[in-house]
Amino acid sequence: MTVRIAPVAVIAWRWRTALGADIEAAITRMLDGESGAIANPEPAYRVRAIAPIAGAPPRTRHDRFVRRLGAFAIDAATQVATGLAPDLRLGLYSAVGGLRAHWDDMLAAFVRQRDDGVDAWALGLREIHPFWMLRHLSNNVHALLAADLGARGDGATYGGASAGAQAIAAAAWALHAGAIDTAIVVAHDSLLEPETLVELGEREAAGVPGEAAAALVLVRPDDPRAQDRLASVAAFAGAGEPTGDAMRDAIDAFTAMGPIDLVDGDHPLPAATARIAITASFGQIGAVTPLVQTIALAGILKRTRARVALGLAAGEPDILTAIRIEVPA
Amino acid sequence: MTAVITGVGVVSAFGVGRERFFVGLRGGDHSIRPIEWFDASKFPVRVAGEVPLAVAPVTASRDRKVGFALAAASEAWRQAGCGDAERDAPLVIALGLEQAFLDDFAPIAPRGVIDWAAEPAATLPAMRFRSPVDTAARAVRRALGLRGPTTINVSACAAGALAIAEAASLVARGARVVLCGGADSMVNPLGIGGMARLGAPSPRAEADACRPFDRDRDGLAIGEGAAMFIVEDLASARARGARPLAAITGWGATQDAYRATAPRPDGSAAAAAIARALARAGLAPEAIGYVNAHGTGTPLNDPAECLALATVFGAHVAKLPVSSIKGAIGHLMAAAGAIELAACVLALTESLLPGTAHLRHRDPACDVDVIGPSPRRAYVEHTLSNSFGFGGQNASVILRRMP
Repeated sequence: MTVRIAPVAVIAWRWRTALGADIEAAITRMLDGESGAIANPEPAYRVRAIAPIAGAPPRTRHDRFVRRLGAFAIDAATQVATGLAPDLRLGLYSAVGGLRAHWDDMLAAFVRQRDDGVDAWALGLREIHPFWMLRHLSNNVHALLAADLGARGDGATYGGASAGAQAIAAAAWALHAGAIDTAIVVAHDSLLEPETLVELGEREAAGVPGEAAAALVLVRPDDPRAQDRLASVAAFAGAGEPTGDAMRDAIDAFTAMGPIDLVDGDHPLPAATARIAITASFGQIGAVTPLVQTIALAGILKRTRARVALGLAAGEPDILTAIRIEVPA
Repeated sequence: MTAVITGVGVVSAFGVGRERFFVGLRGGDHSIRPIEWFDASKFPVRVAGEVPLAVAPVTASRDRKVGFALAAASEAWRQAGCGDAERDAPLVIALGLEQAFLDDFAPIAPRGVIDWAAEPAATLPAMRFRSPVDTAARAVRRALGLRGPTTINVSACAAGALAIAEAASLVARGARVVLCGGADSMVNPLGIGGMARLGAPSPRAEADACRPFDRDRDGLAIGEGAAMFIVEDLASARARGARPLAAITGWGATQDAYRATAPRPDGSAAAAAIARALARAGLAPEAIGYVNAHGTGTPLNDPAECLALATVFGAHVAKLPVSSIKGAIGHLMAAAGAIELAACVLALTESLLPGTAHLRHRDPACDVDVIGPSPRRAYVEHTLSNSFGFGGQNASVILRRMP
């Protein structure tokens, strides 16, 4: 398989993670070996440690349309987009890890239901909030952000465990094609939903489930704004086994661009390559992983003489992502 | 690189298979009927474009869109003559919401609170992972033995068109063959109930519940189904003996940046998406011979779309045939843009422009040449399909007739 990659420049970034919203402070804590994991306060679950974002997102007029993680994503993206021109040249690419139904919103509608579905409307569905569907909508964060930021250009919302990499790659291609001049990529995901914790609790080595939201601003490498770039990023969203052909092809494509100094993720690379595991600090963060890898690995590179890092991840069956991050000399 | 469609697979309220779909459109039929899959008799919304139960594909998943995706993908794969040499194809698929099932909830919330930790092995993992967003994508990959990357577009009602646009873009960037399209179903208690509470569907439980562009329109009809396509490079198609049905020459996307609950009234962002598609195709507006409109039949959508058409096409709009098939099969949500592109394939391959079911009195605010309930015979070189999604995501796709 031929892997095609379109590197772009990252000129702004924000995140909300278990290690906080302050990127430099979080990287320091990560390099000090700190973890955002805490003991799961809910004793009924087998998952004993979780990595939540502390606190609540700021209240906004969108609260009735989005849930907590979506609100964190809107908060991060709104900050990252400060100063961008609101027009048809501004693209927006969103990623959501799972389209999880909002069970907690719906308890009143469900608790009296019969298992044969008879009288479902009278037994509770008529009590669903009129905006429940909007809160449940896959692209609600996208829609609200587009309106807030005046992002009227190209854009799409991607789903699944590799959604973050899909969104970065789509934004990069749109930039290179000239469809837009600036792209905002925003992702949010949580593995701390009750049903996910139950599933993870049944696995032998589930790791620490976490949650995160992050946003990047991308421009073409030849854009004058790229001269002050924080990093360059290229993303690949694939499918297959973590050590299979697809991942190998992606790594080959990335290594063909130059030597790799640092790797996040488990894959057979030259033994001399330095390794890190950011999940140890942030927990498993699903679709947001490529964005957090971009910020975290670039932050680490800037504190060393190394310049290039690879971020790898394997999600639910067949889901692979790989990104290459390069910081300016 | 020219991206061409060489395979089409469809599941709709007309039945399973593209020929069922085409027969329905050729005959000017409609298929909005009382819901059968669950007891909707006491719901405010009781009709839908439901895939007939007798023929609906059955899979291990209760999420009906999984079976729809499999059936449509298999049909497209077969028509295009794909085989082992095409299994590296990327999959770009538009999918709708994951589904919840009432019978999952009843036994785990006996006291008014869901006890997530009570019986995880027996119930909850199955519920959580029965229908995550990518279940249908995984099923298609496994059934066809695909090895390429998967992209899952969840851009609401624009997702289907965006998935096809992305497939064409992949071909333009060098991909040889791509499987793309969309699948969705909201014909379930939660989908119908949630939409009813939102107020988007027509409150009338009649076959003509959805009347796009009609002055008496009062909402959409929910549909379900799938449309999948094999999109490939023209040279590759010819080399392996596949018959190109239509070329995907233009696509464009914009965002309303207006409101989550309503389209931008002046249609300006939608017009920009159409203009981008025309620019990519290298066409003047006058070259378009047919528009398959998003045409939801809601009070706000249709006039905004007509304003967008008037903005882009100017005087040409008076003689530009426009229709919406949503009155016939309902709104397929994430799959709408895909199945409506299949209607454009029919327009090009059979010179038959689908009709607009239930149109009786065109709304003066929709001042375009709306095709009535019966299809119209016309030779056109280029078609335009619009998908303007909830939340203001807009996508337009242009097809060209193959010689």
